[in-house]
This record gives sequence, structure tokens and C-alpha cells, in this order.
Amino acid sequence: MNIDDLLSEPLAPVADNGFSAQVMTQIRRQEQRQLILLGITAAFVATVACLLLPVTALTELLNGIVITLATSLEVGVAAVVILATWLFDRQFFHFWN
Amino acid sequence: MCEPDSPTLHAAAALAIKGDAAAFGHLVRAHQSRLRGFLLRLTKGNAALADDLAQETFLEAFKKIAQYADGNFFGWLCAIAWSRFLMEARKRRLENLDDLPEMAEDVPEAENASLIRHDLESAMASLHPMQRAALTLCFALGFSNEEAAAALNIPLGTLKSHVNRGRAKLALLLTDWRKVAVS
Repeated sequence: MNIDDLLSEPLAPVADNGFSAQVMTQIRRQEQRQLILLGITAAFVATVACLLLPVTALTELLNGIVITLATSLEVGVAAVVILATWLFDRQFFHFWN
Repeated sequence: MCEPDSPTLHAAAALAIKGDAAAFGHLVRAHQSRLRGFLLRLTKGNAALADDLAQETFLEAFKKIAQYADGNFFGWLCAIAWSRFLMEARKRRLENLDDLPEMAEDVPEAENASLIRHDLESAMASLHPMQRAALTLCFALGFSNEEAAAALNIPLGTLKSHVNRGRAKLALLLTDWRKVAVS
């Protein structure tokens, strides 16, 4: 038999025998580990942020901004325009028909 | 073409890039046999090591799936498998990868292999790992020279040199064994 023909014979098939399932189990475990790690990191960062950031001052600042916006005429008019545009877009107004 | 031109596999690869684990599972099932066969040959029939390397290859492929760009998914897998194999070879430097047991008892090929195939595998085991990989990719797995060079991360000229030397050594070994068998 020619050496090239011999070499060109396809590799003998290898039976799966649960190999693919094992790989997918490992992948799922890896993903779970990553999610747990992400959760722990997020909780740690949030805890550190709560401890180090001036939360009270930030809350007061945010309250002030919200109150200012809520009592502003310009913001009110803008909100009504946006709402009217949205309703017009959804064809809620049929008064011209 | 070194990969069956299956639209299903291309679609699965596209879905896997988007993080679809089920699609990746489809790719694992489709490619596991050829990848494990390739690694079996690299590890000279050490089925346990070949399976470990194949598993690591698939895990790394899933982790780096976003880096997969071209249309030859199996070629990309072989490149990862080859780098994993080299890492293992370096790790085992003291005991030398070539000291791995040749044709271990649980090698699937040996169970029903023809005598010629057995001779080929034995002769393959005496080649340098790079020659084994180059010959397997270019002949048994049907890679083009360019695809094989890319998978092994070597220049095209170097690949051709490995193929020619490996083929010549293989032919010599098989001829010698045939003479011994006849005599």
C-alpha cells in the first residue's frame, strides 16, 4: 500500500461514551462558579461603597434634585410634550378623522 | 476542506459565539471523535491523557469562543489542542513525553485495528510529535498545508519540511518491518 494512501486513511472513530456530556457538565460548573464569583465581588464592592461613600449626603443631594425637577414648570411642559408625542405615535388621537 | 461542510455546524458555531451553551454542546458532540483521535495519535495512544487534553481543549474553546473568527472551527480546536499538548509536554519534560506508554491497553483503535493500521500507529509513535501532528492533520484529517501550518502555529515551509521528513521516516520504518516480517 502506498504510504500516502495509508496516511490518508481517516482516524479510527472514537466512541463518545459520555465524553460530550462530561464536557458540558464541566462547562455548566464553570459558568456557575463564575456567577457565584461575580455575585460575591458585587456584594463586596457594594459593602465597601456603602462603608466608604457619604451615602447620607448623596441621598440628600438626590432628594434635592428630584424635588427641584418635580416643581419645575419647564420639566412639566417637557413631560407633557413627550407623553403627547408618545400617544400620537401610538394613534391614541383620532379626533381629526 | 478539513471540516464537513455542514450548515448545521456553521449555525451552531454562530450561536455558540453568542454564548449558547446548547449549540456548543452540539459542536462538542460533532467534533469529539476526530479531536480525540488526533490527540490519541499525538500522545501515542495514551487514551486517558488524550481525553484530558480534549476536555481541556473544549473548555478553553468555550471560554475563548468570542475569539473564533474564521469558518474552520475544527482547525481552531486543533490549534488549541496542539498548544495544550505542548504545555503538557513541557510540564513532563523530566519524564519526557516520548516515554508515555505506547499503545496503552484501553486504546479504542487497537481493539479492532487492522495489522496495517497497527503498524502505522506504531511507526507514528516513533516520530517527533511535530511530525506526527503535521502528518495527521495533512493526511488523516484532510487539512490543507496552510490550515495545518496555522493550527500548529508554524511557517508553511517548516510544515512542509516536517511532512516530508515524517513521511520519509515512516516509509523507511514500515519497509524495515515488512522485511523483518517476511524474513
